[in-house]
Amino acid sequence: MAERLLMMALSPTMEEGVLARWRVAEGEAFKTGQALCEVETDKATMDYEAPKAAVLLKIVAAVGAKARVGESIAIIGAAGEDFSVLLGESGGENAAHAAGTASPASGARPDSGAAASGRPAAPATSTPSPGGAEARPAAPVAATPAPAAPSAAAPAHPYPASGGYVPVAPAALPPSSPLARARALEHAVDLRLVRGSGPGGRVVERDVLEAAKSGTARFGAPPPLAAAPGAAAGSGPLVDEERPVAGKRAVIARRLSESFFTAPHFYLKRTVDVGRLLAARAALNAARGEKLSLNAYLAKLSAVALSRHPALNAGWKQKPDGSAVVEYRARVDVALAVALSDGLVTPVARDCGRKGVAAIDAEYAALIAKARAGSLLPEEYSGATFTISNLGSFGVEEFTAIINPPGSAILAVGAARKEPFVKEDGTIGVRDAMTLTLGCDHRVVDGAVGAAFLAELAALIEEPLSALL
Amino acid sequence: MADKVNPKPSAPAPGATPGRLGGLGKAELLELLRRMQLIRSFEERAGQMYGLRKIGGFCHLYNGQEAVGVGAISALDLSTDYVLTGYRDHGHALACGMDPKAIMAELFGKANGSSRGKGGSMHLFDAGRHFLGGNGIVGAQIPVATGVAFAQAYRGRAAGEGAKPTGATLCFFGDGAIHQGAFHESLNLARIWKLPAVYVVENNQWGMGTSWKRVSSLEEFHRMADSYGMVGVDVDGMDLLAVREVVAAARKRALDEGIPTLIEAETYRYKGHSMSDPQKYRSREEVDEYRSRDPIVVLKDRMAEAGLVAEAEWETIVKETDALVDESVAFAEAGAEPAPGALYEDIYATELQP
Amino acid sequence: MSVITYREALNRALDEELARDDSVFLMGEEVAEYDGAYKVSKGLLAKYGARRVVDTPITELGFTGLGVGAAMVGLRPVIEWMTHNFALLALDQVINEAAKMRSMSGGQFKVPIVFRGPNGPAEYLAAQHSQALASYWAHVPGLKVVAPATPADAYGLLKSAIRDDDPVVVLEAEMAYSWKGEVPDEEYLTPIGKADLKRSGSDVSLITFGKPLKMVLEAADALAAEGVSAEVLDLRTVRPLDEAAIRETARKTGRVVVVDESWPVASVGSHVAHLVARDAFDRLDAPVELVSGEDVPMPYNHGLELAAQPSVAKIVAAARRALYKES
Repeated sequence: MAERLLMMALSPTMEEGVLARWRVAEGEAFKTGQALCEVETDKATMDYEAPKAAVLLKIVAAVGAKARVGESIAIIGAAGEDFSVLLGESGGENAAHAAGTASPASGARPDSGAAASGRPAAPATSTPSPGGAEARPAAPVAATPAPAAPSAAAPAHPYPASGGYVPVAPAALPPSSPLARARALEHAVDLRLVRGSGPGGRVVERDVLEAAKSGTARFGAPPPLAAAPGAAAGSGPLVDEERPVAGKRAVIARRLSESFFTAPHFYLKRTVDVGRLLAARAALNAARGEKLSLNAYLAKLSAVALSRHPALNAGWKQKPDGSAVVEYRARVDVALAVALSDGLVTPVARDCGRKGVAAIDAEYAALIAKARAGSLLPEEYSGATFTISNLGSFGVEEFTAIINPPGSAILAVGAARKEPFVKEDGTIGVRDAMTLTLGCDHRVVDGAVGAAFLAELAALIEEPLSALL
Repeated sequence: MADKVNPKPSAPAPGATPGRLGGLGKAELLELLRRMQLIRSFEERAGQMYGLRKIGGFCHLYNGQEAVGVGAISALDLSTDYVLTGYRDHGHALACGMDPKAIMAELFGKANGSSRGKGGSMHLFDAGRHFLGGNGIVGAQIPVATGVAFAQAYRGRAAGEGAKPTGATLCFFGDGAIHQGAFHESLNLARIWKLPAVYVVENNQWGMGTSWKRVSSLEEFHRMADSYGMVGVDVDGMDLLAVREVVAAARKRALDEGIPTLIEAETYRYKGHSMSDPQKYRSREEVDEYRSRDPIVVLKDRMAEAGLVAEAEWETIVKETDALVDESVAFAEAGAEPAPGALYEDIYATELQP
Repeated sequence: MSVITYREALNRALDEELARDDSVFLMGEEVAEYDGAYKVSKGLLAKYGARRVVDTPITELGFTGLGVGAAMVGLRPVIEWMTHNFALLALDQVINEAAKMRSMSGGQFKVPIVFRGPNGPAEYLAAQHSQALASYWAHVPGLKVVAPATPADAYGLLKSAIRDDDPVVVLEAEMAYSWKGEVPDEEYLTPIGKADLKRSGSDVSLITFGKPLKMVLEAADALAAEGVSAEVLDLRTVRPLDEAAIRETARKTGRVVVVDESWPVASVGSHVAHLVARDAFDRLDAPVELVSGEDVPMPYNHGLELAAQPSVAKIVAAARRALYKES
């Protein structure tokens, strides 16, 4: 029975071949294994051997024609057989392929579909080869320090039998073991406040457990305005040393110099009775079961005062063209000066006029945490119209602060302390006194304007309920 | 030195009994002829299937060597005997009676293949028919086969030291394997322990692209038997009846005397070493010369001469074997790909509880 | 209960299994007439005869492969390698034949064979006779690998190995053959794939297998003297690893020291360290410590030889590092 002779893969990578030469003529008989034709492949010109003895009835792929693996190149059978049925189908395909569609590269996987006596199989559509054109994008790699060389005693060898690991942590945070972190969560310990005893300052389980036992570093305690744990700048023994001015130090130096030497500062001082405020705060803290910081109250009361004295919710602004404006703001954003181990930072609570003390307190706490982690963004520490700086926890009674641009005023708050005062009736009493020093930029705020604001603020502090009016 | 194109002439047909050749009657001879033709037809088709990318990887074809596999295995009793071979194993598998459908499906990598698609061309096995593979590492089957023979001796000798083994083991390998250490270690072990092993080296003269003469200090392999104190025989591998006779004698020697035999069968492969072999190392004339001694034709002609096969009977054989091969391809095509879970199946016989 | 040596425990296991099942036989160099190079098979030839206890020529590849063939048709060979160093000659038959026969045949065959012998360094034997090759076998799917470290485990694991229907590699140790330990008098099997907590503790986990167990226990004693409670997990089986036991001890203490006498690269120990990191990450207080052999061929000089292996001091130092104790 007449059958099609199909192009074979004469090399593992061959996709198609070109008929280079026919060694047998139409009508000629041949034996099994006889070379029927020569096929040019991607590698070399190979002989195509006859799979059985028969007669070459018709050449389908003429010399120079291309045929893909599985396509018909000839019809073979017994002499004089009718093979017209086979002819009609195969002619079309070869014509299409003579147009020379390139086949995508593929591995030598068996494809489905071609029975021996059926139609030639279309080559399987293949997936792009593994060595494909797209390079995988490089994954972003966090910078890690190279592991420290093993200690001098161990031999210098690529695979020391043990040891050699150095811990890694994000900047400004101590490294900690996973177990230490789990324990910190269990015991509500603020990991940031725990001193690590492991290599490189790694906080390990026993450090956390000790902190839990001694009650230090409880999570949620108001963060101190004093320098954060770890070496504070300037702590340690006296040394002769020059340190370059860089980073935060440079920024503080520049901005505050600019502020101090550009804005004409004047200062107004008032000592207020914070007895009612402290009592109210204590009562509220007890009722809520959480402590809201004094600074949050001061920020809120300042916002109320500013809403009544909008002239201070403004700042001197030098425009690029050289002209100057005073920029007034509808929203009250209050910055709080916070001391970190590497310098001062001023996180800003936004829209304090419309937030309660609790919200302001939470906002400061979150921003301070970010500041400690070194991740406070510029938009989070700039653009405040008013700043509060409180050195009361250091025992400072009063001080003058430098205005934090773009504001035009800063409130320096001293320590609350018991002190005697002269009452209205001339007798001596004892009150909780706190001294406020308001620094003002005379380009924007005149003395009387500042004084009026300070009087308002003092009244609000001494009688917090008047904020409701 | 014997001309490589004209090895020893075939042994004269033993016994001039009319209607019989080599002690076999017409029916038996037709069966042997049919087996060889089945292998030839199967291997041709496997070659084509490889060319159509249905079969991947390695595919080592047996065309031209059929007389060795069929002749040798026909001398065994597969209910007690075992057969092992190397990676050119399709012929031996069929000669053991494995179903061509299961083999073709295995070549296609399908779940209905003899090894469930897990083995491929070099790893055909049939436990029931005592065909213990197929092996991919040159010569590795020789110690394993020696172990099978050891088990036969071991079981037999439970009845006493001189007792017969329970059967014999036939181990095939090629001229490329005979220099492996594994061969030498195995023959030594077989001899000292009197194992019922029959070793058949199919010298098809080419180890991949290397002529056996280039790499052999001793060209007459059967004489290596002398190093191990066992019997060495050489035979024309194109003559099925000669091969059968020699293996039958070796089997008897193994079972009765406990002496293993090394049989050198000189044969030829018509196809390349495997499918990707451009065969530049030998001439077309050489191949054609061996085609003129095609073992199938040789047997058929002798049978025809003795009036034991008519042309119509031969054509029936061809038609029937072709049909079996067609069937095997259809079976393979229809087979399913193994399920992904098959990846972890059949790794261990005893799964351990986690 | 009796106190016997590791060697005697193996001998007893072989004796019982040979008696129990005729398809079991022992084969190797010097196992019969010499009573075993290390006397493990003492008395067995006399008891069972040359059919069951077979001396071989020096042909590891040959008799290892022979064992595979015999196992394929239903026998249960116990192939002894005089040491695992020589098993390298037979690697092809173990990895390409024994381990894969079942898978390549689609499940038609099983290979119930045992390969056993001493593994790892003894003393003064130099580079070629001192190799700890656990990872060569543990790497291969299709094999099971056990490493008994006590006489009780040697008896129970060898019996289990012989009765298991898959190829099992047994890692013994020349230095361990004389160790004494309690072994129950009644017959028992130790399950393959189950680790054993040899000592319970809370501060640090010491995980090991094989011969180093002895020094690990000594290290645990030394740590106890410093007030450290060390837990000792004896893996006993190296493939498959008892991942649940590894996970449990790592999560319990949060500090892990893995002790493996093999070379450090791609060893069983390094894989166990990976499992600890994977399964106990959130509970780790320290990086996983790996105490291994030094990454060099074993030298002859005894001082260097000792320095090239794990030691009680190295294990204690590793534990202290994990505990952040100053040295």
